[in-house]
Amino acid sequence: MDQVKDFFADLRSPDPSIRFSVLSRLEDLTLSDEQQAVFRELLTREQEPGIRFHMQKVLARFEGGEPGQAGVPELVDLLQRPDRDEIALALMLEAVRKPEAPAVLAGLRQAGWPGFSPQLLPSVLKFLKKFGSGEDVDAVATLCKHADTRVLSSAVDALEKLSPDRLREHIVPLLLNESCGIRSRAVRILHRYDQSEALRHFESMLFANSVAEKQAALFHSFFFPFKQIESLMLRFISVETDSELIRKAGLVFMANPDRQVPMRLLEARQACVGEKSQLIDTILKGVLQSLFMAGIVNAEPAQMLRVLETHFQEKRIRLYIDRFSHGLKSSEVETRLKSVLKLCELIRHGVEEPRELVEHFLAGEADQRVRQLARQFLESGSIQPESPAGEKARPTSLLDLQPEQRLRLYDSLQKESFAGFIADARSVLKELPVAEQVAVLAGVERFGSARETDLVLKFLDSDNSELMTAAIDALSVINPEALHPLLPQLIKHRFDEVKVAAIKVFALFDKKQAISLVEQMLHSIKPVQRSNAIFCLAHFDFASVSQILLNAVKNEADEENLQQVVAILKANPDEDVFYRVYIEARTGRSPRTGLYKELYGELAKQIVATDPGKTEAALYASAEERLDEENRNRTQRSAYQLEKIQKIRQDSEKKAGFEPELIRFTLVVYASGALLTAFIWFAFMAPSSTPRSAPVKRAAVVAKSSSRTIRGVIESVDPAGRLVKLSETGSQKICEIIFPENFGELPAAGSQFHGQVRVISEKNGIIQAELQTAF
Amino acid sequence: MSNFTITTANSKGVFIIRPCGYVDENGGAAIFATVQKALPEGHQKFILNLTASPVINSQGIAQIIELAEIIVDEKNGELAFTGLSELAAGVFKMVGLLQMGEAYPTEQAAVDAMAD
Repeated sequence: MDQVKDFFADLRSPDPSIRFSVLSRLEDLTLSDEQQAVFRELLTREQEPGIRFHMQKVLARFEGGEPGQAGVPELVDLLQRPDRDEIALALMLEAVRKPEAPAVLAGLRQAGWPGFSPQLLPSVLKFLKKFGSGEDVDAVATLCKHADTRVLSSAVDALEKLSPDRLREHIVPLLLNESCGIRSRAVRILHRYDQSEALRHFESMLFANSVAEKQAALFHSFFFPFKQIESLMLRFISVETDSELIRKAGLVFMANPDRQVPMRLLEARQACVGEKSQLIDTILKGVLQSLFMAGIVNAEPAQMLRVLETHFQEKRIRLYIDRFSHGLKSSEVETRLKSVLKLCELIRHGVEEPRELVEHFLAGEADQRVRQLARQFLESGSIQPESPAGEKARPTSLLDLQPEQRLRLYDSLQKESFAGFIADARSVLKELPVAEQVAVLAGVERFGSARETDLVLKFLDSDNSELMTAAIDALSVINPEALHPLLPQLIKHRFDEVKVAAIKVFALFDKKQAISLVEQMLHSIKPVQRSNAIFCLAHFDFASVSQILLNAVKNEADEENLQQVVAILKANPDEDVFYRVYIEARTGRSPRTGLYKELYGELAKQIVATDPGKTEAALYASAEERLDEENRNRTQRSAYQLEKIQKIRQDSEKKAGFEPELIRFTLVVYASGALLTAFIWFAFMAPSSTPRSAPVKRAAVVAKSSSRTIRGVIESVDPAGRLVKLSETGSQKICEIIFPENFGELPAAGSQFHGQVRVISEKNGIIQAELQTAF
Repeated sequence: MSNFTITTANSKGVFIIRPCGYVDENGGAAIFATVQKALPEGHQKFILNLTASPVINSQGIAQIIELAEIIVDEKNGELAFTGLSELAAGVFKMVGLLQMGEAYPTEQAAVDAMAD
């Protein structure tokens, strides 16, 4: 690993607190001549005076060698002189050894060190961290409110060492600080006093829109007990799209191997495609490897993975059976029929679990038609055994077969035989009965490839929901990219089943948005819509949706839907959910206390069953502790409560003022392609329920204040910092634009640029901005 | 962790700590205690050889950060790491431990670099 190169890359970060922290790391290294030259070049670009000072100090050490052992009188003399060389003083302070420290301390106090320049203060604070005493605490504490991030950060460091409890009084201002590095540090401090509220702040940072904020949260994630953040981290991995951030989060999992995590990661892996799927696969294998290497399990990683994959399939089947077994109890004949046919289909695919359930149902089913069709389907695989009326014999092998023979053929399809089969089926597919067309599409889903894309795409024009759903499912496997541009239409399709299938696929591309769509469905006044949303939730990996499901337990009015939600929660025995449900039940805030009680009881049993290292008694004891802490802190936390802090920050920021939805939308543009996202924005996310005029006006004003279109010629490109420097046509202003990672390849120097940017600052004719979209 | 053990050695004035097993909270505490015991004996240069401890969890990391602060910041000593697994190297880098101690490919290389 090239440590210095990494440090230099961080020195190009737009966040001053990151650049500053890197400098502390560089201080103790020895740089080659070549590396010193790069460092000097970076110094010429640095605008921040405090950081420049620190860089000059580092450079002075490189150029002058290790500072000599400065005599105390010489140092104290320097402290008293207003025209002192601050860089020399900073270097001398760092060279002080313990025996000389008291005299230097006295000199510092006499010289009134809190009044030193912001450039010098970090060095003094570093010295005090090492040698300070109780006498210095008040002065250090005062600097914890300093406007300069470097001073503030150093003061927090020193105070943490000298009198950690004094930090408590600084939590609120630190949480309100502009620098996300400082804010995340504050969250860590808060964790000592109020764990649950600190975790809410951590969650808010981890799922913020800003990459810097997420980076800061990830950095500090190592300082929280892993069990407390496990669920959040899983959700993060599941919904995050930035590869680098996912990789970093992956390290946290691999370093904290836990028996329960691999299954959750497997679920997350199955719920995405492409590079992200590969990334999560790597993390999953890394966790399995860590479990093995740490001696927590004896099974080889590959063997464990096979077992997990089998369990995953079984779990999926159980959820499927749960869903449709609830439908068997419906008062609607058609719902019962549909449900029993789905279960029969499973049996015909060789899954025996639902057979007893189906037989039991048929024995008690009052409707003769339902009984007859189900029996017929169970035996033949079709409720329409006869070939289509008026079908003429054709010289094609598939149509020459009897319907029963064709059904057997579909059932017996294998990867090896598929190519021959589909070549034959292609020309006659539309002439087959619908149930058979669905069976063929299911075959394409299992064994097909992108070659069948055109064939399957035609079914998306169908009027039949089953055909459309089967086509979406098949395309999601053989060629999701081809389905991508059609998703906006499919997501708002009149058939709920189609909508659900489309959302499931959309989740592969942008899970955040997909979950948001499902949440909207979950707020529908129609129970059927909510039922479909719940079905969708069951298809997402649990970590991404556990909170939504818990909210659904609170809000769902339909008994059948509620049972579905509870079934999903029970099928995913998660410790974090257990604690949340326990607290909900014991605080007595909800009229559903009985349901919560039953749920946590069941979850406790299952958690213990899946993890032999746990006992119910220990789980309940831990839950009681959390409940006590919750009750204790509720009265104290008003000042630093997440919502309050967010409100103050929102009010104080000179809002760039984009609608949060618009920001999310912009991010999606990068990730999913502009056309698709534009559709989704207008179809689903654009605020519509409130009168239009006010928001439109506000958006216009806001956009004017922070967003602008820029055209110009690119002068230079810094790939490490993803910084593009250009000269704006007309104004000749220099514009430094940060290109987000997901924008892809950077433009070349000398090429034309035309795009919309968000202006971060504009000083001395230099515009610093972040790219929103390139035209 | 029941299988966790620590052995130590001295070479050319450098105190070497060789943990073996999963460095969780208990493992981290054991390493920390070993350093705490060695400091009053006058040791100032430490090598943490993690060859037999490829997995170090968050709590283990916290303990190592704390001991690094004591060695480097408080005692003006030196700390080096060796035998870092790819995972441990990534984590050390992420939490800033490599700023407090340099990583070496082998224990011998670390001893040679640190020896008086």
